[in-house]
Amino acid sequence: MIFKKIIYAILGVFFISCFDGSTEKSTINIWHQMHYENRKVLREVCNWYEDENPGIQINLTYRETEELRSNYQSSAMGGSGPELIYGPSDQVGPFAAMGIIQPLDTLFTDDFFNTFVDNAIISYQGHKWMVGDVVGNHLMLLYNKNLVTSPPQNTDELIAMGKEYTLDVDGDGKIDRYGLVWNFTEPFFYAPWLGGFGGWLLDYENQPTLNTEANRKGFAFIKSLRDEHKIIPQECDYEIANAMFLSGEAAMIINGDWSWGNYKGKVDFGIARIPMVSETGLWPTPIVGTKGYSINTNVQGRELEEVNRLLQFLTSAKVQLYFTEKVNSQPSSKAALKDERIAENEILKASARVVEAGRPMAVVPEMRAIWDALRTQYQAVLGGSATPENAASLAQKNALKQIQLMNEVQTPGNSIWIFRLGMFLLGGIILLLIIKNGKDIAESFRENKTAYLFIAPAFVMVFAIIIFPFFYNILISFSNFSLNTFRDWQIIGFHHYVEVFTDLHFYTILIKTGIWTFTNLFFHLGIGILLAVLINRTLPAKPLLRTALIIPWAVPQYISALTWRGMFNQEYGSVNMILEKFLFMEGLQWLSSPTETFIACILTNVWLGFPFMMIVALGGLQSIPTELYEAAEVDGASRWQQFKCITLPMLMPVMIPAMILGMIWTFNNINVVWLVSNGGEPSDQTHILVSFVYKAAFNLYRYGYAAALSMIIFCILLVMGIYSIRQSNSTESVY
Amino acid sequence: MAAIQIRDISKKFGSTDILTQINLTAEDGEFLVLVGASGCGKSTLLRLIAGLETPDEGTISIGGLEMTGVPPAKRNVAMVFQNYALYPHLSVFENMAFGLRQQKKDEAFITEKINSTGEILQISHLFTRKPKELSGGQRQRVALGRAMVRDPKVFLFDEPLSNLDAKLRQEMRIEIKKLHSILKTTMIYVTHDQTEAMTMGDRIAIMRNGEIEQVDTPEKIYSSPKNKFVASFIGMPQMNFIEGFLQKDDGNLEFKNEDLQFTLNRSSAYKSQFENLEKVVMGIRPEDIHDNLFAQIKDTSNTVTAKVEMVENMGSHKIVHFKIGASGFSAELRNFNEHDEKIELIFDMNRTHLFHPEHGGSLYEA
Repeated sequence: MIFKKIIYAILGVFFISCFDGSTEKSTINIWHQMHYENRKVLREVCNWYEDENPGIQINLTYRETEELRSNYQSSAMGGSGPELIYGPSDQVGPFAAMGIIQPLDTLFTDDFFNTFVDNAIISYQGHKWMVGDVVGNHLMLLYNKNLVTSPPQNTDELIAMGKEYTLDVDGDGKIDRYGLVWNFTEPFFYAPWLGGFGGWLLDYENQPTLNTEANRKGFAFIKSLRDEHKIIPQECDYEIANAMFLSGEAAMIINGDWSWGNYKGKVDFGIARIPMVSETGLWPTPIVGTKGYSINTNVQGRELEEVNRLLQFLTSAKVQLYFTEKVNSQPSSKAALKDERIAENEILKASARVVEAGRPMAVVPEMRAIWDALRTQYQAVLGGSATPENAASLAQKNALKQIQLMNEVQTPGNSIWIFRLGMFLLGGIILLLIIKNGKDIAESFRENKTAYLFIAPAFVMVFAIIIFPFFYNILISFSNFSLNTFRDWQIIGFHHYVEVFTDLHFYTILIKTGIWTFTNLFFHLGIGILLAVLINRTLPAKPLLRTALIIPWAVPQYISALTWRGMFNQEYGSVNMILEKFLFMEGLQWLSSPTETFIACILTNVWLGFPFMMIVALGGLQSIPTELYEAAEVDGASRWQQFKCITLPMLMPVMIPAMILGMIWTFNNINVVWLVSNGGEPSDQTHILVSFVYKAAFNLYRYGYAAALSMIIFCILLVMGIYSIRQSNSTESVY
Repeated sequence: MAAIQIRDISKKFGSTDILTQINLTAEDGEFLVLVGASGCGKSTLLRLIAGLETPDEGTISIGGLEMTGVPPAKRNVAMVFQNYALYPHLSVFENMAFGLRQQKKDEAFITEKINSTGEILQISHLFTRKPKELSGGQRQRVALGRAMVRDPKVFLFDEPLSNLDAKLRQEMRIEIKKLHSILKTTMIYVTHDQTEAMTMGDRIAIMRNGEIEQVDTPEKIYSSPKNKFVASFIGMPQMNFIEGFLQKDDGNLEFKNEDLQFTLNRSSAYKSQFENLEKVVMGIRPEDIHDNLFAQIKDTSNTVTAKVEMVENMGSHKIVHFKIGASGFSAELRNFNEHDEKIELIFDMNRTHLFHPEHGGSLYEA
């Protein structure tokens, strides 16, 4: 009895301590995607607010834009998530359609909304959803004043100046400075040019308009800048462009207003419109977006009042001006705009001129489908695998198809009866099992009360983290859960499974995933075991080498993956440099043709994965008695025979479980593929099954489909795992 | 079959001397035991013979052939390891066949050889089993079998019985000895166990700190140890040592200390160069101290009364620990009443040993 009392007392203290203290201060969480410099300013202004309102604590969480969106969706749907979410206006459409943010017109009066410029209040389907504190987010031409005295006014000038500033200083055949750089493979950075050629992404009915002469010309123009005029690098993503402009290796860059904070004090830069397209006489039309705050739909009551007050503070003229002062952002508050500090700011004045040429960001969910379709075909043109004509027509077709898929609401088909029958049978079996074993289970509970009490916390955790999501996923896979049924989805049967198995694309990706998994595993094991054997037997400085070789594994995966992406850059990457300088081979287009990109992903993952196998093998090797080798040596076995007859068979019991783990990890390794190929580039051809699922779930909001696909992946892995274990008798110990 | 000659062998691991200037010969067909405490270099010496280590200095020849630089497989030696070193994933048969297969012997030969060896060792019924399905004794037989099938010129044993229990160890000791009498091959056997050394060896080499202290037949090692270390290492219970000084009296040599006084009978064998030595260590084995009541020898001058401290009953005899003054002794006595607190003992002076107080060398002629 005393023992029991002690346990209850300990548990009581534990639970009380868990809940203690949270009642005193109310916490408001803000998730945002602000750049580093802006983040610091946000923290400062939140500190002001906390000082003025001692009862409130503000927690800021940074998330990258995509991550912010997907994480917010999941958590808001689950009834939690941050009270305030800060991000670009294009997320408003999907969030509003899903019903995970609140309409603000019921919370604030028009007087409040009227204190902002029109672009700052984001409306969708008749309601207001977001209050923007920054208007802009627009692309412009930034030029290094030390190199460029006056910016080019039109594309002819741009090309001429570009050629002038593109230099091979040391004459080694490698360009040391480019006239212009920018993240030109991203459709967002292409969109202004589309406007410049007289076209646009979508019409007023939110239908894609990609199969146009303007788009064809736009594609051809960007390609000509690179291939014909050679004033932009062969491969250039955002980070590389940024780094080149900062280091003076690029005279001009096309970048957004968010980048000013980064350049301030490091480059003496000027701002201008993106040069007019000489052929049409039109200015390119950068997308003008707004960034601002929306309120989580789950916030209610007194908490909502507090959140409202904070939103008003964060979007106030005072705060906006402080941001302007610190990071040059363009305010949205009318009062702030009248301030003399704004009127006298040269950069903001120039920026305002750029905004005049811009077009507002469309907030409809369809934009995602359009971006996706455009990205694929645009990159195909740049990679040389499609003509502008074919690409424009395919982009339009794909966009329409994706919009249709996205907006499709499946209704229960005939297969629902099979599903219902299956469920009925399953339910019956479970019921039978309960009836049959119920007595034993109840008795077991009675007899082992304390034991069950001890495992209860662990069980609750496992249930919440693994069991429940797993079964919920199964349920979703049979449902029509998607953008338009976010809050009222229903079971529709086997529709998604049929869709997956009848899609040829699935089999292509499955084969690719197979190649990905087995190639990686082969090299992980091969290199891992080889290095382990070398380290274990012959090499000096064992601990040092062991530590050095673990590094690829110890460094966070995304850092390694992004570093490798940089190393694969066609012109500046070390991989091509080694190929060209030391192996006298021609450099490869690592990241712009599908096969090379896939190989690049494999190389990266081989680098990341071998240390794990090496460590496991090293552990295994150290447990092999040296006498065995000595006995074999006396018996006359060569090194190779010793490896074959002793090392390998003795390693198997430890390597098999590691191999199965490695197989599952590799099969499911979205990080490397996603980061190295930048989300499936080029043209969405670098995918394995998981990255494909991710894209389906989070880009096109097709949750039901993605859940079905992930269940299929689970079954494939389950079968492979069981088969490997059976085949290898890995559970049998050697001694 | 082959004799082994070890000349001036030295070996260091890092800066530690493992073996210094070792000279040793094992005659053709001889069973030579290397014995010593752990860390004395006996296993290293064996591994040098096998070719698993290379000497820093000196030479080893087997059957008259110089072996420096010759790999283990070419030396035609077989080695049996302490933990058997059987290949765990191979069956008993395959374990035994491993070496023959490396030599590319044909299958018929291999099968015949293994079958005949299996019969000698009585392990034929185990051929299909894996090592983990065998008992310790069976594993040891398989390890022996694996060595035997190769018909080596020399067998090397590295503490092969250490992992077995006492009973099995005794059985295997006899088996290995029998095997030697059948095979008549040169065998070198490393052990730390003096019983194994005494019972198995044709000759024993006693090692300490990388040097050989004495090489001789078991009888000679027991009766005429060259120094105090050898005397103390061999014999169970250990020889008693008493410090004292010598005195010549009427031509007789007397050993004295504060508590004791004995007349030494073996003075004629006393090495003349130590005649002037005053301090010495006298050694006497426990079985050479007798209960005066039952002793066959009578020598009143060497009889003392001692206080009994403790008695260990060994069944056939008792080991009695006693004290005379400050010095402690043990004696092996057949008849002893455990309740006696004092006992009269007679020391057999024909069987005492005298050792140098510093370097421990025997002061008697061999």
